[in-house]
Amino acid sequence: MVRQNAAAAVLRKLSPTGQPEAYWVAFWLLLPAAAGLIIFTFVPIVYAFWISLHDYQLLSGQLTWTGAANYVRLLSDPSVTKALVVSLLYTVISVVAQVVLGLGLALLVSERVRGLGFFRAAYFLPVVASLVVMATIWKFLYAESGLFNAILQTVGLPSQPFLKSADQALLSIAALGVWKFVGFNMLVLLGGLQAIPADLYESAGLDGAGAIQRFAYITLPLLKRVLLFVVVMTSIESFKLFTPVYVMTTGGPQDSTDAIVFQIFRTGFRYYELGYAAAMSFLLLAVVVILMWFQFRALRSDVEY
Amino acid sequence: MASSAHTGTVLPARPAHAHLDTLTVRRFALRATRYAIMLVLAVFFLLPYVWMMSGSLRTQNEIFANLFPLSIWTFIPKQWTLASYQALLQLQPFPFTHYVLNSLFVAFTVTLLSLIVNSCAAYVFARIRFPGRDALFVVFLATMVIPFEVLAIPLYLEMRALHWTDTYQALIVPFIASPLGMFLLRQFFLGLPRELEEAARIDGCSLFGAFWRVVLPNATPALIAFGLIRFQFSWDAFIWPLIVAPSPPVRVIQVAIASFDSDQLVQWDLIFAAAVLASLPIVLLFAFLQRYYVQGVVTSGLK
Repeated sequence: MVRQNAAAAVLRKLSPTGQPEAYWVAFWLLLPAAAGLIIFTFVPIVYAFWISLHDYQLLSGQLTWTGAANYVRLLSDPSVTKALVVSLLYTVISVVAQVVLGLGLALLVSERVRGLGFFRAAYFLPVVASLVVMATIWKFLYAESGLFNAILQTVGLPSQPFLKSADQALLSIAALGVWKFVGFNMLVLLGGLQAIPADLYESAGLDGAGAIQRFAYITLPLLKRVLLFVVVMTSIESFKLFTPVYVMTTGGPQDSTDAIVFQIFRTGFRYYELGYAAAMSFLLLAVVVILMWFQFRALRSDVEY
Repeated sequence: MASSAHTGTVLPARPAHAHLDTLTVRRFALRATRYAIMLVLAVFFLLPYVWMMSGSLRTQNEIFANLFPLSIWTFIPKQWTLASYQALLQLQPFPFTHYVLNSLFVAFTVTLLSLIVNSCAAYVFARIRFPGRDALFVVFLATMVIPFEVLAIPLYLEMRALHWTDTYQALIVPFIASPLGMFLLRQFFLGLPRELEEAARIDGCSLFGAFWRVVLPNATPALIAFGLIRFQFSWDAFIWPLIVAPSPPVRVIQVAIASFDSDQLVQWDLIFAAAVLASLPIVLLFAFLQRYYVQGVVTSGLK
């Protein structure tokens, strides 16, 4: 009895709300979320690392310790290097296109014009579309006798092979990516634009700054933080390119769209080499973390308003 | 509004006889060009939708016809028919509605459980102090960096060990806890006045009661925003259901659509109609709830 009271007194002191029950409430409220993250995120990560140190055949279930062999193999596997290059190239193209065009769209729809709601909705609509569905539809648009080629022919241009050509396939997928995701960037950047105080533009206007100067000296610097968010989100999403490849090209032609996530999927669930696929996943994780670190350093905002 | 300030759309009133000066003409030309660009872009963004919808209402032969030369019939079916939709209903072994219901069930369950579990956790991170709390929050948030694709393999093996492959649980349970949700909701809770809960406590509410009956109802906008994000995430999930639950009884809509497009046979008529059905619920949800989504996304971007 006495000890319980003493314990309660200690708890009461520790707890800012003055009640020991606060800890128990906190414990029970946190438990489901914490359990979910532990069981379905932390355990798999550790397990993936364990598997990556083995040769694990999915079908036979045979697990043979191989140490770092999978990682050594990664470094000397030309198809992995190629896949990384494909993913990085796609990421660079996507980030530049989606951020620049996203900013362009945000500027276009930041001013009051007739039918503004319609334009914003139209540009945003693809964001809510499912990627599987749209990749399938775009595959048809890109077909030899598809809509895009019909448009090209109508305006007198030669038809293009699009997904059938090693030179154009990745760009064609990137175009789908722009169409699908640029509306999200537009929305976030529009929020950023509207948060810039209007009097900054007014005083710059009085000082004789033109539209381009106002954009370069007010809009861009003050948008830096939002731009960082958009760049980070876009590059992480792009680096994980999978669905359009699975649906539209299955990695071809000539491995030109064989992105790293697609290769992980194929190695694990088509060739059933889970150990090697797990090692590849850690390579993916490493690249994503490095990407984020660089971007945070490069774009760290020092402007406050 | 920042907008009117940086183009100077507010023109001073001028006398009627003043002739158009070059500045006004230029301004008008600029606005017209801008409007034209916006229209062309809108057409480009809507084209695949128009194409998809008209494709779903065509006869099978007509899908590939009328493409060249471009004409009105490229975008409007000559012969309207619901045959594709009927074909979806006659699919074997299950009609397409089965996959739609699977997806709806999974997405609703994930959304509901996700809202409850993550708002509880978010409340603790926002309001109940204990040693190591903020460190724990950072560890949770850090998991957002991990691409799901990295987890897919070990998670699949976990599901196999639990005998959860080809079950609804495998599509639902791993996605209940969401660091993004905890983050968004915590931000919102932090913005609510503490007096709300203090008043409830004084009136005799328990700590949990104050959260459940006072804080949560006041957080509706944030809950809707996160619910929408979660629903869309779950509805669009593809790689995971493809790996863990591909069999027809538990198959979800996205996997079903992908199965119409196999190496042997591409069933375009089914794809178009299914694509329309797959887009419908999400477009409707966003049409009604978009302002909450905008609010949620913009807040996360401005942080």
